[in-house]
Amino acid sequence: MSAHSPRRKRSPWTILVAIVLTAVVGFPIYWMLNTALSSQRVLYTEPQPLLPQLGNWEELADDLDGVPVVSMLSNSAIIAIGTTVLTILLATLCAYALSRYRFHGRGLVSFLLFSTQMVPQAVFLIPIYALFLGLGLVNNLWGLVLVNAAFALPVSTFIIKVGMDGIPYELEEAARVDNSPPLGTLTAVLLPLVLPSIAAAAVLAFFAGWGEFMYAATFVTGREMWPASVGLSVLAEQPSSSMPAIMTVATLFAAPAVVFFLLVQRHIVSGLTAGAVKG
Amino acid sequence: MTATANPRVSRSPRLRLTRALRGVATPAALLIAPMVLLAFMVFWPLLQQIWISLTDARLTNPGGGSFVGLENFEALMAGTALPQVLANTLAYTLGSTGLALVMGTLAALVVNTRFRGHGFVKGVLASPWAIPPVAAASIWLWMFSESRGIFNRIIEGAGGEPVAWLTSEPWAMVSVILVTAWQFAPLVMLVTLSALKSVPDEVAEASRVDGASAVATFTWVVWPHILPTFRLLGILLVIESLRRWDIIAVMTGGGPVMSTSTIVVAIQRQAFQYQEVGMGAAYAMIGITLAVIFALAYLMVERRAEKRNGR
Repeated sequence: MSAHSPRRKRSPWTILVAIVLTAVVGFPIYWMLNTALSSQRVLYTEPQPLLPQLGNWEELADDLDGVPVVSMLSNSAIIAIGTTVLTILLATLCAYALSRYRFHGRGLVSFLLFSTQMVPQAVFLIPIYALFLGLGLVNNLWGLVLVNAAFALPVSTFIIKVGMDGIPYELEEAARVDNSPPLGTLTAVLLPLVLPSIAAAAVLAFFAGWGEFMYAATFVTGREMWPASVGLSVLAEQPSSSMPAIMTVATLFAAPAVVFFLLVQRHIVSGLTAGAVKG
Repeated sequence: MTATANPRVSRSPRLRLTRALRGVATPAALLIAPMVLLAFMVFWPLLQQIWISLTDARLTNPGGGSFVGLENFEALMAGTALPQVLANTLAYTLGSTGLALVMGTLAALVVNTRFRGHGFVKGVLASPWAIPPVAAASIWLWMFSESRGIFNRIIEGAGGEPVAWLTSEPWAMVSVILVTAWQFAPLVMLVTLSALKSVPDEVAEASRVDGASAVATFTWVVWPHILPTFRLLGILLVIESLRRWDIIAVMTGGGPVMSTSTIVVAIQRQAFQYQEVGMGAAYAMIGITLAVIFALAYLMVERRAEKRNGR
């Protein structure tokens, strides 16, 4: 399935719609960059220039003084990477069991995963807070990793399971007859073949961790613990914050995700639908 | 889900017993870790939630309230907040889902054609999905700014009255729906695009050669092909917008006067701002009920579709 097999010939209408859609959808992104490069003084006194101004670096550095940008982004990265690793590890085990074994309780496991996926994670905010209070995981990045991984687990499992279902069982048969342990079979035979599905699931888990806000905003209180989502929201709420500074942080927060997404986009869409269909 | 190869079925009798044992023991071993995580993060919290919703717990000691029976639920039923929260949830969920489906399908139809700059257009149209919701909300917060935002500048430039986008009804709801749909539409576009690729070229071509208009071709040839995908996207987005908190929290905080408070906003505010954890848990139980209703509706629709397709 190539991205470049467009079917229909263009008509003037399609071009027009394409231009309008691109302008409407792309404008907020452009405006974020444009504002980030503006001067706060100019924004307050005169209409914002439509073209980015390149020369307010010093003012921007002043405005960002005291905003823990580096720790915010690295906290988000820790949460995102932790979530991805834990989710993929558990989802692969889960998918392997569901795809390759018939056992009592198999339907129950699928049902539990499905219901976890259907329930908004926000409804567990209170009991998880109560639990974390007891475990000392409030105001702790690893607590957030646990929460994110639990809620990313179902869709990741379904994506990887669909990938495994598509691989003929005969390939593992030989390894099994040799009495290779199940985990050996999984890692040596199956894993390399389902790598695309695992990658798709990993990207989704990464995004879930990178942008997560509700649990982070409710649980994390220490400034040095802020992930970018919390830091940015605090910045945006302070009337004293400069708009170029807010937009700069938003850009730094969004850019890695957008670039990453555009690079892998083609590979994750099939996984996304596969996981959803079977979910 | 079709039957996959079954390790327990072995032609060699000597191996059958070990296989049978392994058939139970191995999946159990594989599933221990994932299930422990779910038990801690989902199942135990669910039970705890039911208990908390029956107590008068405060935030300082969420597990330690005293039992009050159904008082929290009675208070919710008696008040005016719950109907409004439910109406808001419905408006937000259906509004975001509907708008995203329309925009995303339109985008998919456009990107499915050949033109110069195709890659750029597709990239731009796909990007909003990857922007972290808080970043997206803060961009739009600035664009919706009453005194200096670009929207009001354009309106004033055209001689209109500035709109209090985020602090007046119904504009606050319209604004958060717009932002949410902006973030959802790329998913619709990408998934619909891959469904459009499954429409046989010759069939669409034949319909055009037969003199059918573009609209007729879409309605009778393309649409039936992408309908299952569309239904699936619909339920995915309903669930996704049901759980959305970030955009509303940053842009309106649920206001003005609760007009953008969805169920999720209500849970968080009741428990962590008013510190009434018991009441918050009661809201959460209603949220769970909503999710169950949506999930059942989805399963029913899928069942019926499967039956119709004779799968």
